[in-house]
Amino acid sequence: MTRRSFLQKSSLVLAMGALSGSLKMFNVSAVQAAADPAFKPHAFLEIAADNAVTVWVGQTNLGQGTHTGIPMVIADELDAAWETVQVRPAPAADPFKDPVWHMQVTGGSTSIRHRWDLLRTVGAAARQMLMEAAAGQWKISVQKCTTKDGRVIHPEGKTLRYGQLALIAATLPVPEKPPLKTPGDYHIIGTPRQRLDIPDKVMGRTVFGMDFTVSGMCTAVVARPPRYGASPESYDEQAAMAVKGVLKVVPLENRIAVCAKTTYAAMKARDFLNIKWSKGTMPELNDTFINTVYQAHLEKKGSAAKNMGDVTAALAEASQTLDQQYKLHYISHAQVEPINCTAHVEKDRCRIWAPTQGPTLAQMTASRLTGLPPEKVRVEILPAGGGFGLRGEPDPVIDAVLLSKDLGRPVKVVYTREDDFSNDYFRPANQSRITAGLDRDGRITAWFHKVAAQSIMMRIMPRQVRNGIDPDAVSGTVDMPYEIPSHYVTYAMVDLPIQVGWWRSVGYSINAFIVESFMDELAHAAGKDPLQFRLDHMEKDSRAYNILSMAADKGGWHNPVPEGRARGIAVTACFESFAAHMAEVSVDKKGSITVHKMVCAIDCGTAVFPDAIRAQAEAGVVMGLSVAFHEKIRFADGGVKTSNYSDYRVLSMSEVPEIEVHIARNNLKAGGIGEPVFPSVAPAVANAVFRATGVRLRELPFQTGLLAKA
Amino acid sequence: MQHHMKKVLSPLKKFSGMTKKWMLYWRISIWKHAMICFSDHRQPQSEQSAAESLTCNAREENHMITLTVNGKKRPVDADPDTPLLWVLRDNLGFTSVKYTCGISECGMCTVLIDGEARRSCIVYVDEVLESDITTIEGLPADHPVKVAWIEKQVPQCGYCQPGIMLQAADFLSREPNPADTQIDAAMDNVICRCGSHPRIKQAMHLAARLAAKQGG
Repeated sequence: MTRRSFLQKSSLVLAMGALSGSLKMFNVSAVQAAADPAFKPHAFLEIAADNAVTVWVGQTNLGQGTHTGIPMVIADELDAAWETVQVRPAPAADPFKDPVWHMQVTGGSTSIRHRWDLLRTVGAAARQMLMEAAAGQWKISVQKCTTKDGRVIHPEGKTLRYGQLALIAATLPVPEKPPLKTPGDYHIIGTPRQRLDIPDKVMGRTVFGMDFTVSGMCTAVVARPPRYGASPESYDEQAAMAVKGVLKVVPLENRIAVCAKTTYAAMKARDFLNIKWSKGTMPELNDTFINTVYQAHLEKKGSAAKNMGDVTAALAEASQTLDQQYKLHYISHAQVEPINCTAHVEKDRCRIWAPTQGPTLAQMTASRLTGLPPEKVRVEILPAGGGFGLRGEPDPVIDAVLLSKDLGRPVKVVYTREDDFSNDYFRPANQSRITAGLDRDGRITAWFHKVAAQSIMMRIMPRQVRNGIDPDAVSGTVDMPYEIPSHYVTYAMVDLPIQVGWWRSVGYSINAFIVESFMDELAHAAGKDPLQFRLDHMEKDSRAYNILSMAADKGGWHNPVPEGRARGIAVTACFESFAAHMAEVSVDKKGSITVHKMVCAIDCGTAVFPDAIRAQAEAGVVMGLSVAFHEKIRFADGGVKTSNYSDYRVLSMSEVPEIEVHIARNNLKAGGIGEPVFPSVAPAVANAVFRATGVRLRELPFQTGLLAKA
Repeated sequence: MQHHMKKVLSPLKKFSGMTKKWMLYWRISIWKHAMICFSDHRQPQSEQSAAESLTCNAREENHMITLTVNGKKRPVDADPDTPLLWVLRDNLGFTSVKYTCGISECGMCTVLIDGEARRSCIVYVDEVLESDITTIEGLPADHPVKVAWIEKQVPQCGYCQPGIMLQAADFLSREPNPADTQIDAAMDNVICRCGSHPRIKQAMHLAARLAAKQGG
């Protein structure tokens, strides 16, 4: 190549670089936003003079599909042309707060269902204003106008594009109660769409929190106590500083940060700190100790979470009683992107870049630590490599802000995988005991349910713990989809220093396994078909009743089972949705379980984005099976023993069954998706295993040794 | 580096001393800028690290090497015992190569080294000085794996996907018409927490069909 052709080529490349924004198709990744949006009737929505429709989404992109689903709802009511719609991530800001919870948070499967009216209203109001703008131009009454694909249509057929009307529409008042579409008119909601964020994810362009950089940034890893309550007694700062690229060692309360130019230098140097840690507050804590604590709590009276009818009398009068205990261990979120946060604290502002599920909490935390008012704290919500409830915790924000203050430059705090496992806020372990009574006809007359578990709320929102009850610990036990005349639930709060937090579907995640396994045991005791037994205890034609029936029907529950296989079924109602699973399994002589097929039925009200729902349902199966078969955090010597994926197995490709997803179609209010798809997976499998072997698995992860034939 | 310096210096022979120095500085700046534009439309982290290493402590020696990534030679300051993962991510700005476990359990740091999928967290840079390293950006946008991954809407969070796609691409290049059981075996050692497994499998079948069509 000659120098001349080289320079020609490089200038062409420079030119291409400058133009590449406009050459990109809309819908491929972020960022072709209009410089000055002509029409912005709401923080969620902008329409530019060139017809570009920008939807701002303040939820965290965990891959769950909200960053396409939310634009779908708005675009449908707006009657926008889908190809002109693009999505941009909004920072932490008031308009993006959850209307029910009054904070910006991605959790509880609320992104759409808490905004079902709001999103439709935003789109419909904008449409109304555009029609009025056009009607004004044409000097006709607005009732004569219609809209389609980003245009307002005159009764005689001529049209004006939204972009052309934008400036005029911007001068009009925003209607508060515009007419909303009837579901029959939806042409985007409920239709097949491709996710707007997928091309970037496939091309490797997505900048996750872990990938984020800003000028002047350094990276920090923090050495945290290896056992609960331990603090650093001594460390070798010099040895760490001697590592190439290290900038500073910063002691924080009970932990030591190493800041360096590169992530690897920080990780390497942290090892050289050679910290001597104190004994900690509970050096005797290990798996055996934990089990003893839970067993003891099951003997306690506990606090009453529900008390209906007279369980004691009903049990005394029952024809049959059944009494069983269940055990679930602590599990990790194990999200693949390690916890991280970047912060830059300056004199009059603070900027945070994090894949956080709790932007408002991050903003408040930074405000508190810096003394800056919240308006001066900008939180940019980066895409997350999984979250499952862990990324609402403010720990990385705290460390990043403190370190940025100390170093006077941007600091990115990253967790190593080992940090992630030992500092996770685990799904709480649970030991429960149910005693139930059946009458002569095999109907449940009494259900006495004792729950022993740690409390998440005592740490996060203690005011939510009333009369000794953590609502999350008992969700799924006090609100089962079954009619039981005498129903008594008690909760004994386990007090251990283990960090626990919200894990995908929270209390339902745990209690659905217990409830749906025990329902199956009762069905067996009553001599009834497990499906019919459940249906007999549900309100006929209720949504739970219908979704269970659908799963059974689509799974072929009443059809002959293939040789060597057996089926199990389970249902849950949570987060305003209803889901059921049917599992088809076989078990070999060694006790190895093969799940051949999982049939999932989900009723989430209006199914806004069916393909994302299917993807979430598939995800629920994979995660559900992973938790059922493999996952368990181990403790030893006063702290977490599990360190990496090498000792925390998750489901692998060959273990993934055939998955069928059926979505109930109705026009009810949109319900949650991300979490309802999970809880009924494990019990469906456990119930199938019983059918296959006659052995009940009452512990998660499954103790498959119990299944081996002698 | 010396070869490049020769190319830049040769046109300057006719100028006087001071002007020569100034023009040299100017040409190197343009050259550096052009190198960035040649790269994959990204701002390499080396820009920032390079600036910082100019102000680093005297105790820190530079260890300049050249890595060939996606067909282009990239000079970088990296100690020989640094895992390739971190040089790619922190020094060269290829954040598509992910860190998740650091112990080759998950496959998210996978790159192609001379076409073969390897986990870069356990490859040291001095092992690959003569190799062609390919990250996901190095596969063309119409690569069958990329096309299939979009068609089947595989990613959920997407963090694991670049490494998995590269492992899949390598596998499919050796096994162009795989059965389900072969895909299971080939991909059993990757982690995806979001559960995109069913779609990974479907996409690999589709990619195989697309590749067969492309290949003719």
